[in-house]
Amino acid sequence: MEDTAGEQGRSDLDLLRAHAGGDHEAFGELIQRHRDRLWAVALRTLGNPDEAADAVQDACISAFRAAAGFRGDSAVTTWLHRIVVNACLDRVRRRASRPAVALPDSGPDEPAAPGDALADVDTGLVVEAALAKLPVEQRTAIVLVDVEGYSVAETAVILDVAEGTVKSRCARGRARLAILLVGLRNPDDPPGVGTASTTNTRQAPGAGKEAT
Amino acid sequence: MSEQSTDGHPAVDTLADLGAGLLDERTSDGLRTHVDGCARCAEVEDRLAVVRAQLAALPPVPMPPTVAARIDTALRRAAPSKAAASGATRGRPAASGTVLPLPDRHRRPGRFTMPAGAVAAGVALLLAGAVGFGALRSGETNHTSSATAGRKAAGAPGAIAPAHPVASGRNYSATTLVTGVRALVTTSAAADSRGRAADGSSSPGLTSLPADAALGRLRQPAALQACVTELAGQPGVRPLAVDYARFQGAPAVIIVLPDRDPAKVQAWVVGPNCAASQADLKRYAVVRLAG
Repeated sequence: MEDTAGEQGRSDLDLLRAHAGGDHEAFGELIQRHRDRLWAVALRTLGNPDEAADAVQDACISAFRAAAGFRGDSAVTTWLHRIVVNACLDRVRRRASRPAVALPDSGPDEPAAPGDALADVDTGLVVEAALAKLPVEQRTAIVLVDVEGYSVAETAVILDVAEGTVKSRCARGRARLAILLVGLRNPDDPPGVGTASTTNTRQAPGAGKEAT
Repeated sequence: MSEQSTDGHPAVDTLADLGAGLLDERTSDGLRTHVDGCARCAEVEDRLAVVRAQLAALPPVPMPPTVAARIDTALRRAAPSKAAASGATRGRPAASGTVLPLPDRHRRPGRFTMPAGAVAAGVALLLAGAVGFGALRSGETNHTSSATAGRKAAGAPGAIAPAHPVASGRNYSATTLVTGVRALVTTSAAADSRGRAADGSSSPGLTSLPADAALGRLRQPAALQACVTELAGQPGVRPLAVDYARFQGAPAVIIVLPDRDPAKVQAWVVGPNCAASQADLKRYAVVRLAG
């Protein structure tokens, strides 16, 4: 990645082994090399920058301490992502065990006041908001495969599930996003347009449940 | 999912499963026959493809500099303290710094803490290294002053001379920031050692030029320190160098802070409004000092 400019020469595995061998500069260099992608995965999985920062920090410390036990049966980046994703999922589970906090999500009874204005909003923000409504298992798979571009095989290792499970979670997540984003049940919508204006008016059954 | 259609069309979920190759051959073939002749289902497939394209088009989200600094600090604390010392004395090849793009919104650091002693030790090691580098660069090695500065710094990590602010008026850019900051640290450290050698007298080589009027507020030490505290996420951090200058044409202050890695420094480029509540951050870079 671009962060490594000028510091080529040591592979991820070299850095991890150097770290295990007592070179404590090496681990920081490894994290610096990959931190933007780790951050992107954590931020989109958790949907909250403060929680994402805590999760990535926890994960980095865990990886720092566990590095000596890295057996090399996956790529170093896969291993790092797995630790970060697990730290994120831990936080989601802890969050689920706490009293529900109301999310800024317009319910079916509320008029979708910002609906018209939303048409002008960057599509990316609308997609991010819809992504945040997915169940976390689907969201994590979608973030890794469709957003970050990891292969199904690598994502399966990161998530510690079968490849078929990754495919299934991605497919169901895409289906739900299509419903959230483009109001699929309206046959008059031309394809590929109206992505924003229908966001608030068409809630998938059960989408509201995920918000609590 | 309960998106079961009531009129003979497959559910959206089913079409998504079909697209992901999750269905057995017989089911797939049957669905494919229907979808190929059905405008409504073809439209659903189109929209699933649009969703994938929209997901792939989401912009990258670089880690904010404050989060990166926080994690660096946490890792530093996880490492044995001996590591920092060995890093400072080891010879290092010159390498380009890392200039990170700035996130849309500068977020206040959360639980960013660093023991004051660790900061002081880092500064001391850095000063010792930077003075040596400065001497090499200028071509005339002043053994006495650099050795004195090094011994003082190493022996009394709490007693760090304050940075000598300069007002170069230079217009930094993203591409010249790294080399500019290296030079700035070198001259500041050299001025520091000259100041020590001359028993505290101010350095004639760093006469302050009139700064941009917009930066007037930050010329006051208290205002500058509030800004530095905001950047560092904790009070008491002394900048290694400060330059009242410009960045990409706009008035800016270049503030150089110690990094967890004694061979590197953090370069913070802030605008005139940097204060305790907001950084007014324009750019952030971790710069590896040549040496």
